[in-house]
Amino acid sequence: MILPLEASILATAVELSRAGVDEFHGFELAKRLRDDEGRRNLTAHGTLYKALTRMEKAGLLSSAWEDADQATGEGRPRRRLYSITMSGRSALIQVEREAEALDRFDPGWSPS
Amino acid sequence: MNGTELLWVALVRRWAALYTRGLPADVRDRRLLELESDVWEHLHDADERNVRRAVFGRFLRGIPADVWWRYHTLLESRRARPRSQNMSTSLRGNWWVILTAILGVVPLGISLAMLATVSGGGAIRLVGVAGAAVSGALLIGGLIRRQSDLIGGSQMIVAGAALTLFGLESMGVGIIVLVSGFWTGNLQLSAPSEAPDLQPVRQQQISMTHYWFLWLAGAALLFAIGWIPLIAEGGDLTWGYFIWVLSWLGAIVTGSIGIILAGLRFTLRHHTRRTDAPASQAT
Repeated sequence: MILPLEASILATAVELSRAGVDEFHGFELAKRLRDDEGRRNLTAHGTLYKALTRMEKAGLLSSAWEDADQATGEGRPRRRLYSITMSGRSALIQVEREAEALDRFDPGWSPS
Repeated sequence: MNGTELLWVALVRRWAALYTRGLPADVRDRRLLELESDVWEHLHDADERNVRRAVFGRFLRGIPADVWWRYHTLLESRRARPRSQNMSTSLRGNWWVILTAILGVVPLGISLAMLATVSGGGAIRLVGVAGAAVSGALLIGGLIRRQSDLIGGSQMIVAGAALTLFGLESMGVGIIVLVSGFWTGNLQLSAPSEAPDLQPVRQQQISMTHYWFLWLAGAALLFAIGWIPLIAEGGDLTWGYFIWVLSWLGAIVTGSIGIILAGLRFTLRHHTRRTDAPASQAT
């Protein structure tokens, strides 16, 4: 089961991928999530990195440390780079379909 | 970086070092390096207007998730190890067992002291004596049971520690045992592989009753809150009376749910074992 936080991360990963960014690091993700009012609480260090680890274990994301030379060259600590997997994309599509189905659901009455 | 920013960064680092302490080296290093990178990026981000507030906010809001993550990482790492290694780990972390054993004697001592020295009080005194004795017995019994049944023993310890919260004299014991037990991962309350021989539906029924002791802990906490207005009897007792009544009523309801769930759990497990026994014997 995909949690709302995980769906938000997957959606952001797809947005980044569409913008040509296939790999992203924790802070970059937090920055994107923060711009969305409803997702701001997800950017807390503990919440974000716990979710990223869980999603990687579930096969929704993959990650690797970036090349040490590149980080040293730019004078900063190494980044852990994440990318969305095929399972992650499929899971997001399923979540979006379920959300659409829920939106279309007509109970046949309305509280007038 | 100015002074305040340095302070927040130092605070984030200190907290990260604290909650990753005792975790497997690879997990700990990854979290620390990722945080180091995150904080660095944050401080050097050109778009960030209020770095101090943002770093502090992200750190503060993540604390509950950090604690929860630590607890689960400890549980996972222990499950992944062979039993022989777990034994050596538990010996290395024996300070918690020793501490709990020592603290477990305190409620028993209180119980005996109350029985010997306090006169009068009738039923209330008897309830106090019995409560202290049961909580001490649960703490010590839980430590013993923990050797063969880690989860069952942990549940007994949590229940015993929760009971100590009912008494002002013993309250500290429960708080120390619970906080240190969860922090060190010694109190293992969940087990996905628990009772693998059970049928899925029954397993589900049992998992619903799995958290009986948390209800008892909640009852104990409400009961402890009820003491506050009683202690502050010099103050305005109008609000104090309501808090006292509400918290103790809440404790009765919550405690009753805990007792019902515990009873259900015991009945379900007992029933499942009995009905599964002939099938396993036949195979």
